[in-house]
Amino acid sequence: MDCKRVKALMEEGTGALPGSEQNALREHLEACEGCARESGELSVMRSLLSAAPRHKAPAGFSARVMARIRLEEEAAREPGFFRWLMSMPLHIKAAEAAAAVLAISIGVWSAGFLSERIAAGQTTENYTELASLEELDTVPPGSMGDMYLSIKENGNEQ
Amino acid sequence: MAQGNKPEGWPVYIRMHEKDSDLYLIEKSRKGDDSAFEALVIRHQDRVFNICRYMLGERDADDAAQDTFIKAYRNLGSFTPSPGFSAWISRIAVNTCIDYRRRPSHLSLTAATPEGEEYTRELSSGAPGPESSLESKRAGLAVAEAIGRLPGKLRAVVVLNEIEGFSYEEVAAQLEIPVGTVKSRLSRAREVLRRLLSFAREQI
Repeated sequence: MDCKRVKALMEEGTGALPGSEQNALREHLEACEGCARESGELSVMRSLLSAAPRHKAPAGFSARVMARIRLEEEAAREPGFFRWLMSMPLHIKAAEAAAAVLAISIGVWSAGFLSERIAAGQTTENYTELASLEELDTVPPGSMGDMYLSIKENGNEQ
Repeated sequence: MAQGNKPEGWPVYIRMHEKDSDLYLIEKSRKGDDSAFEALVIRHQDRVFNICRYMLGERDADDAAQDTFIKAYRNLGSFTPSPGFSAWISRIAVNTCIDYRRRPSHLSLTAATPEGEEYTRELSSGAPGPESSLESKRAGLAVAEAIGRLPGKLRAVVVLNEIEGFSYEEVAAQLEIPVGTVKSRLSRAREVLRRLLSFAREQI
């Protein structure tokens, strides 16, 4: 048995080796100082690692997982748009909220600006201008309107 | 309800498996039985939490372990019996932890939790027992602290192989790396651990 094979066996474990290979390995380790040292170090490391504590899940862990699953299932039954909104990551949700606040603020500001203009009478003047007779078409000559206006003008002169 | 794909491709012997097996519980979970999934959570929660605890430290471990099961629930439809639930959920746990470690620091609480302090606190708060037991506990905590100081890639192979007992092939599948890489990372990890533990002994 050569050093390469010994190293491979050390890494993979020697528990399932047949008796003949176990003997060959033992003989090699007795003769080869380098492999014996590596084997010893590996045994110490494995022993230390086996002493590492195993952490158990905290109390109520499974209940918390199932509560989250039930919450997801309820959200899945919500209408599509709401579900899409809720499925967004937290930072996207924050951006969406900021955009909504901005849109509402702009709306409120615009409404205030318009109402100030109406109060100042600018919009009313515009409507008055539009409704003035100057904007109407002139009466075509020989029409009923023209005759009525001529009679009215003559009457006024008299 | 979980992904509702019925496991029609599974062999008959798996579909008719014992009523307490993982595969039976998965099949029931896929059909919408939440209590079956809860039984799976209870069965595997310690392993998943332990992986997350070693990978991330105390504060993020609980959240990452919960996220692991939520992802598993969402993806039950893509589960195949070949690696087994234990290997499958461990793979999800490791990937979840890797995602956590990639997150910006303001989203992670791990950075504020030096592993060493935590384990020292655990040791000092433990009830005094027989000297040999205390020594053993001290050694275990020193190893745990040293594992916490390993680089992420080395830590993952140590946790999966040495702590959780998965074979080289299973670890290779879980981390999506060649078996040779698993072996070389383990070898490097042992070397770093040896140095860290020697340094710790010198400090004492």
